[in-house]
Amino acid sequence: MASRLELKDLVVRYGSGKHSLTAVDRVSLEVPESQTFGLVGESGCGKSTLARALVGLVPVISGQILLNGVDYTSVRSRSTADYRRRVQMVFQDPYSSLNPRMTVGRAIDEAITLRGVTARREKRQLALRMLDLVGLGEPALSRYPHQFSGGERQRIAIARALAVGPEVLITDEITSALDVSVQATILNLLKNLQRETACSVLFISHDLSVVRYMSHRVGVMYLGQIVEHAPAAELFDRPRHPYTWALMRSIPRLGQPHNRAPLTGDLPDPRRPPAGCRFHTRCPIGPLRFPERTICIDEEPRSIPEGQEHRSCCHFAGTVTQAIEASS
Amino acid sequence: MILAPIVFSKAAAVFNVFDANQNPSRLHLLGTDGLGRDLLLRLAVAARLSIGLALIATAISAVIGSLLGGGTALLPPPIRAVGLRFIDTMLAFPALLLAIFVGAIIGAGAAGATLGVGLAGSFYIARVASALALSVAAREYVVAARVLGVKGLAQLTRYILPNIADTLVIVVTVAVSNAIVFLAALSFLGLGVQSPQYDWGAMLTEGVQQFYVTPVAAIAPAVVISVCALAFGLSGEALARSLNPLLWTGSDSARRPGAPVVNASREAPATDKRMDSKSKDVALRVSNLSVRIPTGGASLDIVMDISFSVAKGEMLGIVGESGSGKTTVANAIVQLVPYPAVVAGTVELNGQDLSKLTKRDLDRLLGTSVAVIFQDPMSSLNPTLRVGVQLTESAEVHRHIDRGEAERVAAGHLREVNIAAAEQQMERYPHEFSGGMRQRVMIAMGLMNEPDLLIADEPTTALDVTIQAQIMEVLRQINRDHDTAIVLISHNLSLVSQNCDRLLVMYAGRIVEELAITDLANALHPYTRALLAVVPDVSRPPDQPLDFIPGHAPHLAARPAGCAFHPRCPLAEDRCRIEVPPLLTREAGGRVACWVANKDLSGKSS
Repeated sequence: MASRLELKDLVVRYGSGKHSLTAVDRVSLEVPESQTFGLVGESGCGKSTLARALVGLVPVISGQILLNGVDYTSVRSRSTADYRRRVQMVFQDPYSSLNPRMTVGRAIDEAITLRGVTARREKRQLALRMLDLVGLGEPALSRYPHQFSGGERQRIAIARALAVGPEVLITDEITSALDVSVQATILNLLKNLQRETACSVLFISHDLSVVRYMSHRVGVMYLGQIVEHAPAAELFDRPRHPYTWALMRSIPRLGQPHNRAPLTGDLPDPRRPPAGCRFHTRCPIGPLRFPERTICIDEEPRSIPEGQEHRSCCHFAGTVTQAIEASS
Repeated sequence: MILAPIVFSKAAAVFNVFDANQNPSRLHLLGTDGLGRDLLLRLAVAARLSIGLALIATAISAVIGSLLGGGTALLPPPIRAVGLRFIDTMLAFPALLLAIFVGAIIGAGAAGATLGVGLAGSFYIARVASALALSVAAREYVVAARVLGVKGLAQLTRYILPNIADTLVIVVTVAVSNAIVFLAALSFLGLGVQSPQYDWGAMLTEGVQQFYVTPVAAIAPAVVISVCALAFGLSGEALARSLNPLLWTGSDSARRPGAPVVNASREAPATDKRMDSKSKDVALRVSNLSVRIPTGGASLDIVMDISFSVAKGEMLGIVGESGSGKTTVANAIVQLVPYPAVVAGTVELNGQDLSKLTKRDLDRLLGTSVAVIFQDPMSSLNPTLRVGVQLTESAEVHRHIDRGEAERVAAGHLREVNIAAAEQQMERYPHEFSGGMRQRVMIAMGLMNEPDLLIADEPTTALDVTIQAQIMEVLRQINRDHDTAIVLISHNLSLVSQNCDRLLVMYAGRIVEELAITDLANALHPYTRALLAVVPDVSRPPDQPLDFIPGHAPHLAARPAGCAFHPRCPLAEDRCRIEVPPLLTREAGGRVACWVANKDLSGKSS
């Protein structure tokens, strides 16, 4: 199967010199055709910057962006109408991502025009089909965004992105501005739409349970790097990187007693990431706990494959569960 | 104004040297000028030229200004900076001087003056437009349009300009009044409209020459110029309103007329043994608390008839979606509900009714026995003061301890919330801390006066999960070590269930259910049950669609009649659509407001 979207050693940096911030640091990932790649991480880990780079809002310093094997690394190539038609994005906050002075009909119509459809009847039919796909009816066309609830607005934003007919859809925290009771409708919708339109999805979220539900493969980001990636079930059942493990231990779970906070300390300043392994300042199995593990401070871990699909960046990958159990 | 020149121009041109420089009389209401022409008529005739030229000049300013300003905002940053400096430089020139300059190049006369004033005014509009456009260009919908591939000019005309239009219109109408004044000034200086044409400015010039003979000849044009300028300024706001669809298309849910609500406020007093905190020390008791905002028509009820209590050492969770009123409850407890809202009901802290206290006693009680932690710690910390000063301030005031002692206490509390090197951290400013650290500083600050009650309103919502786990650990530890009662307000049911002893579920301003966390599996209210079902869970098999609650939470102005949850409720019956269900105490403990769940009780109680 040809992969739709492929990133190789992608680097995105803001500013230059002493105050530069390498927001995305040598990230490689693949979003296969008609599949969803979930990207999970905490604020400041670079996942949103990655999304913005992919849609051409931010230039790439080095590495490659390939779409069906064709190189789109230069910002110029990602600003072309051709690339826009292939890669679209849905933003986090439906309250701010829709123009308050534009009716829903015009907003969708604009997207359809960019797709290259010009005949008026065809455009209208397509617009109605898009609204129908996201569960909204014809009356929505003449209304303004503020006349809809948050969930409905996010549906409109999705309909607009899909109206372009993209091959790859990037969604950046699309449910985090919504109430829990509405979140699920958007996730179910997106999952159905993906089946129907066969587009590939890069699903970005800080919420592990949501990523688990949506994704075929999952990558975990920490301070600009992907520290572990694996098929979703595999990653959640057998996390090998201590950060992935800690993330999962940190989520409050209904009907279960609370865990002790698995990590101490704060996220380091991303402008000055720690030497060696970037996670060593917080790692539950690193030099904080085991002072003899100086390798974590001295040497940056390489991505180690475990089986075909599972890779993690840790000198002591796969030992976290035993280490914690042994010491407690 | 438009017709005046056609109707009156002949009459206004009639001159009679014998009537020259007359003061007002019945024949000439405002008197006559040096050639004996009627001033009132001349003022009316001049209106078209004066206002017309001003409008043309403003149109020139508006078009050049908004394109220049808006366009500059869309340029790539380095070029944009140059453009903005250019606009600033031009703005630094006195506009009148610029107008005189342009007028002089083109030649004295109406055309030169108009163009000059138009151009001079455009830089002011450009400066405002670029500032507005820059703020709009950063908004997500403009970014979204860029991702969609909308071109530069279309971005400007469809996204930027419509969204800055209402402010810009006000600026432009002010510019009209400026233009009127400037044009008059140019005519007054002899650079504007040339004889035999005349505008108000030209009339002012003539009038001033006769000021000691017929003062009205000068005063009248001056008054007309001022009034006209003011009128344009004022009309701008009305025009701006008409341009904003947010103001003339109401939210759909808000527009729907609410059916009359039958209010069954028979909230059962909390008499149950497990639920009642009477026997133990009550830290907080809230009785029949309501908060409403009086508006033009019907008032908005944000919180309706809420009663609950929290015991010492207890952790109570309040869960609800946005608009459920949970934050308002927190604000009402600490008397922080903003002005137009009206609060009813009583709040007792350690048995003291807050409404019975004097302002001074209230401040002291709130300052010493309650601490509040908000979602965004940055907005509650003063960015210009060192953290140490902020920490010690209230302790010095309320506990009358000296600086050194207060600092020792502060360092102790910082260590308690797991901040290392506490003494050094006190020397730093809030912006030097991460979000998690700031929230810990807020908690430490709350602890300074050893409060009996800590209200945490979404304390971890802005934080990452790993940091959230750390903050919750700190809160649990405080609860355990100091016996502090904690009210945890959150939208996250899992978080509340893991940390609290008891739970209040709020929906559309009311408590719909109260229960012990251990009874969560036996929740009775359909909303609580639905919330439990939609909680995201990693262990849920991903091949089944997620559960959801159909519809969305009601708008406050259009709360459904009867039980507010009925439009989304799978069990709703006819009664639910008409009557508000009372919150009744269950035998097994807990309180529920649901006609269906309380069917076994309703026979007895009503």
